[in-house]
Amino acid sequence: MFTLLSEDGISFQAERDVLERSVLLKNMLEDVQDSSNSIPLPNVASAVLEKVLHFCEHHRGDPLPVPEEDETRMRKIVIEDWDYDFISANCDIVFEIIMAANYLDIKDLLDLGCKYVASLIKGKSTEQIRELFHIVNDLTPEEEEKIKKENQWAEAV
Amino acid sequence: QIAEKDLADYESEIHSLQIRIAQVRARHENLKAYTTNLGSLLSPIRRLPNELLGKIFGFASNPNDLTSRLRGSSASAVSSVCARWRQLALNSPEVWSSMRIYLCDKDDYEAEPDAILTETVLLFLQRSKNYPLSL
Repeated sequence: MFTLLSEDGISFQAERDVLERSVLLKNMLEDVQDSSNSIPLPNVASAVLEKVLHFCEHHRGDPLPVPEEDETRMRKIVIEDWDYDFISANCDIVFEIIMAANYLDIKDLLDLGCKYVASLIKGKSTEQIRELFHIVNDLTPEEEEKIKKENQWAEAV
Repeated sequence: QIAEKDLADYESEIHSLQIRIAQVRARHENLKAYTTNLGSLLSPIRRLPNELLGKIFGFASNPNDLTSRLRGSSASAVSSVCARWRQLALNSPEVWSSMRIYLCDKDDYEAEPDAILTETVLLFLQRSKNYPLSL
């Protein structure tokens, strides 16, 4: 068992095959002989680390995604039921999970988080997206005009 | 005469109140804009680096539905949200490279929507640059 220390000082214990879902931790564990020292993760809060470990534990033993990303790969990704339930149950911290997955280099969790947020965007209008993510429209009048022209096909129908 | 003076007083009071309402409305609008801006600053999606936001755009735009009957596509929507999103979307060829193009039946054919759809497809092809297409 290895111990991880979150940014807010909370310890979590996990086995090697769970931690090795993360490329960052896998590389770190290769250099760690003694499991009595805890591994500090200064960029991951305990609430997020707990969820990340839950995901890794569920997927322990699954084949790891190929590190080199094929350009067309993102078109083949499908969200499994368990993964969908996991990410939608944690939708309030989905951006923190994405950032942690990116930092820890957990490709399947990163893809899951990004695809979930993409599913929130899909089918929404620009205004609905702004409302959903609390984004202020800071486009210049010139840009607005250009966009209006580009989107004339949508408005013409 | 007394009644006429009262009427004039009332009109004057209404005028003053209307000015006051306009001032309060303006302050209300300013405060609303200020809180929206603050909310925007705290929005978690702002913390995502471009690389991750671009990845999300890629998923959301898979595929872009282009038809002469439906409204909008994900690529068009995300590229119109704000300056940062627009810049990122325009510099992400994958966002424009996946298209599901719906052509209308011969009986429903209308020249104008068809020509606009053709223009849109050409715009998407131009923005997808050398990225592998999915049609």
